Amino acid sequence: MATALDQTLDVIARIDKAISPQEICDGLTHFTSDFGLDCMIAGTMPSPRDHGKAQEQHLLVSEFPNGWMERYLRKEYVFIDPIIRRIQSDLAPFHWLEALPYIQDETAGVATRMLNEACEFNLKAGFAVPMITLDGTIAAVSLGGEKTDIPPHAPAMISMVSTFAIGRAIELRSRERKRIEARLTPREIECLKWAAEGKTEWEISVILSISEHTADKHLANAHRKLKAANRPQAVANAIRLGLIP
Amino acid sequence: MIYVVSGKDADQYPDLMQQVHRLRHDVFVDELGWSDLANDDRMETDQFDRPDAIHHISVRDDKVVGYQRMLPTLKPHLLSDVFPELCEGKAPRAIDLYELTRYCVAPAYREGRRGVGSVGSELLTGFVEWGLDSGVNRIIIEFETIWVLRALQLKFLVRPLGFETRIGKQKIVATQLGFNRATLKALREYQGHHNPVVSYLGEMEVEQKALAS
Repeated sequence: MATALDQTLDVIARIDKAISPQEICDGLTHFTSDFGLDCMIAGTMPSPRDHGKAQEQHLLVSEFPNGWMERYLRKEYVFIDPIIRRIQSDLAPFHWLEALPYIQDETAGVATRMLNEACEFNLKAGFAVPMITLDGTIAAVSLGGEKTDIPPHAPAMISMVSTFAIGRAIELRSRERKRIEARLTPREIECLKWAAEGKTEWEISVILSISEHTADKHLANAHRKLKAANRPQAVANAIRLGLIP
Repeated sequence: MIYVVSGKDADQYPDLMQQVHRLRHDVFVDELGWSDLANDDRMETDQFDRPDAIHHISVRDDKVVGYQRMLPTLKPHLLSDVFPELCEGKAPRAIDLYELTRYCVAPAYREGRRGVGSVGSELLTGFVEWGLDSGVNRIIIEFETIWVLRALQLKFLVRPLGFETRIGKQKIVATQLGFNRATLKALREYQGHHNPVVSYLGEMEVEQKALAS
C-alpha cells in the first residue's frame, strides 16, 4: 500500500511535467477530487489598485467553472471576498467555511450574494492554501467543489502539492514571458502600452512621431506574437505576462 | 563573504567560532525558544559540532551575521538522530548528500518575515557553490514550510521527505534539495551579482586546491 508521502510524490511528479495551467490543474485535482475538490484557481493577491484587466495578471491557473471567474472579475468580488481576506491575513491553510468571519460588516450584503452565486456554479465548499513567493508576494491555491469530505490527514498533502502547483505555474508563466518578450520589439511594446491606455492608432502615431500605417503595423505584429485575435486580447495578454504595466 | 571552515580547524579561528556559537544561542535559544540547547555561557554547541562538520560563516564588517552547518549524512545527523519523526521511512544517506542545520541570520540583516535578504540568500548561494566545488549534489534541510516555494523558484530540485510537523514555534518540513549549475545561476540572478561568495580557510583551502588540480 502506497504511503501518503508516496502518493504526494506521485502527484508532484505529475505537476512537474505539466506544460500548461490546465495540466497543472488536472494533476492537482486528479488527486483532490477524492475529497470533493474538483476545480482550482491559483494566483498572487491583487493590490487594491488593480481594477479590471489588471486583476487577471494575478491569475496563474484559472480553472473554476465557466462563467464564474468572468463574473467574479467583472463584479470585482476580489475586494470583498472573505477567502481572499483570510489568505491575506493568515498563512495557515483553511476550509472556505473558516473564512466566513472575515466578511466585513460594510460589505456583508455583497459577500453573501457572492457566496450564493458561487453555489450556482457548484462552488459550495472548498479549501485554500496561502503561501509566499520568493519576492514576498502572497499567493494561494483555492480548490472548490459541490460537496467536500476532507479527512484529517489530507490538508498536509493538499498543502504540499498546492505549493508545487504554484511553483510550476510561476515557472511556466516566466518561460512564456521570456519567449514572447524575446520576439516583441521595443517599438511594439511601446505601441501596446499606449493601446492599453486606450489610445487610437492615430493618437499613437502622433505620440511616437510615426505614421499611422507604421503604428498599425507594429500593433498587428504585436497581436500576432501575443496570439491575440483583437486589440483588447493583445493588451490583456501583455498585461498578464507583465510585459506592460 | 562566506568563510568555509572545517570542524577540524575550528580551534584555529577562536574569534570567528565564538561569534558563531553566540549567534546560534541568540537565534535558536533566545528567539526560537529551543531551551534544551540553552547554555550558561550563552554559546550554543551540540554533539554534531564534530571535526567532520563544515561551518559556513557569513561575515559583514568583520562581524558574523549569518551561519549554517553542513553534516555528512553517512554519520549521525539531526534527521537521523534527533528528528526522525520528520522523515517518513528511513532517512536517506549518501556520500554526496549533506545535511544543512543551524541556518540563521542576525536580526539586523533580515528582511521581514516575508523576504530572504542579502545575507540569507548569500548563505543559500554559499552552500550551492561549496557543494558544486566539493562533489555534493544535494542536501537535507529541515526548514519552515514557507521555504518550499522559494526553493522551487530558485530552481532547486525539491523532494519532501515527510509532512510538516510543529517544532517549537515553527512548522517544519524535512526536504531534500538537489542542485546544479541552473540553481547557482538562479541564485546569483536573485542576489543581483555573479561573484563567488565562498572563501575557503585552512584545511578547506588545501582540499579545494587538491580538488582543482
